[in-house]
Amino acid sequence: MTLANHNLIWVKANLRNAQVKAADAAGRSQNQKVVRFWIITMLLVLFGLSTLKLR
Amino acid sequence: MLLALANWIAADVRAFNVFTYITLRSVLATMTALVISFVIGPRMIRKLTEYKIGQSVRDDGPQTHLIKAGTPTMGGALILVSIIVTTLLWADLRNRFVWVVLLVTLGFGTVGWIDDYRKVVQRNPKGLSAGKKLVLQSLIGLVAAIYLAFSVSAPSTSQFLQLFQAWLASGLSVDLSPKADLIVPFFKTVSYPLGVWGFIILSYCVIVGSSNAVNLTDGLDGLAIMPTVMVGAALGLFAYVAGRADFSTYLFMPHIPGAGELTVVCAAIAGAGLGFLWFNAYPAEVFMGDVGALALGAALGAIAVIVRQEIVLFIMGGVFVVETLSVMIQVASFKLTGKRVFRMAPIHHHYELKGWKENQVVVRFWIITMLLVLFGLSTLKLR
Repeated sequence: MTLANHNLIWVKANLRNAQVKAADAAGRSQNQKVVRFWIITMLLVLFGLSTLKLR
Repeated sequence: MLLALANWIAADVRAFNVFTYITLRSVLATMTALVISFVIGPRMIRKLTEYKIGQSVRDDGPQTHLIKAGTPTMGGALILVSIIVTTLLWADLRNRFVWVVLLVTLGFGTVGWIDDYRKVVQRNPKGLSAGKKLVLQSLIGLVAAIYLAFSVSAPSTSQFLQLFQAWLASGLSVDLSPKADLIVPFFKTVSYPLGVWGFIILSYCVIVGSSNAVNLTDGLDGLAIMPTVMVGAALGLFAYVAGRADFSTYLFMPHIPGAGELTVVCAAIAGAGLGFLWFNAYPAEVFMGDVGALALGAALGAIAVIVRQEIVLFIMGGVFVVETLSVMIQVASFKLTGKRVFRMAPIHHHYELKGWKENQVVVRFWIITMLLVLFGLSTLKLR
């Protein structure tokens, strides 16, 4: 294997690692956003249900 | 506190009578607990990070959990502050059941605090020994169980004192009213008379057991808090029904005067839990620690005892039960046969090692809890 090929493989591997880490971080923060929207929806549903009694 | 203020103003402004309704105060309690969590949460997390109060992760657990090392812990204090402040604001403070649940929650929270403090701040990996922890939990659980054995049967404080004195005078052998029987779900008139000692032992087991069950479940981001919110909300419904003579008679449930006020406490637990989940959802910015887990479990247990729904708590809290059983089975199997039943205990780690992502385990356990809570609520009508 030539030195150029070896360096190319090393660059590709590091790029792939960086992409995986970025995707993982995006996935992790995406989950937090999803749960936070669920919490907001739950509150709005509770508020809506309260209109049954608050008249 | 706000109820007393509203009642005082209602003498002149009749519109303020609306604050006497438990339903309104419950909704307001949920929102108040949430707002308190949102306001205090970020500051608390910053302080915990500043003081380096971070979680240490066991190195024999799943390797994917090593990244959690250093995440601020003892965030359960946020939950407790939200619950206590909200309850003091919106609940009727003349109600003895409210005080029992608050004091049990605070007591178990204190035990958890001591354990967390020793482990995290004093860097003592043993924390509070298992024996000492159980002794402290048992002390609080027994006192609560003895008090509830008589207060559930007696509608007022004076009658409670009379019943308690009669029990002492009779040589600890007085009978309790049918309200203190163990209610069997799905049956209109089937209940099991426990007697005073049976009630005390059962209540002790429910309070201490649910406290430790929630603690064992608290191992993944958001895994313990959402089921606690769901079960707490459902118990709030049971409390409301138990407190209403008309509803409880119609649904063949025991009428426990004063239990309705626990709806406000349950709403506070739900609101505080959702507020905490805001920061605890994967990837968690803070963990609740023993201070939160022990306190919340004990609160659920105490409420279930008061509204006479111990078996329903067992059903709705099935995730907590399975987590606890998985640990017991694993330990027993390993000690007796040298073999493991699960890849790792508690059972949430077992599924992680099977290939489920952490978030998948958490959400799937939430779905299971939702189904169990629905099943538990169906016992209101299916008799």
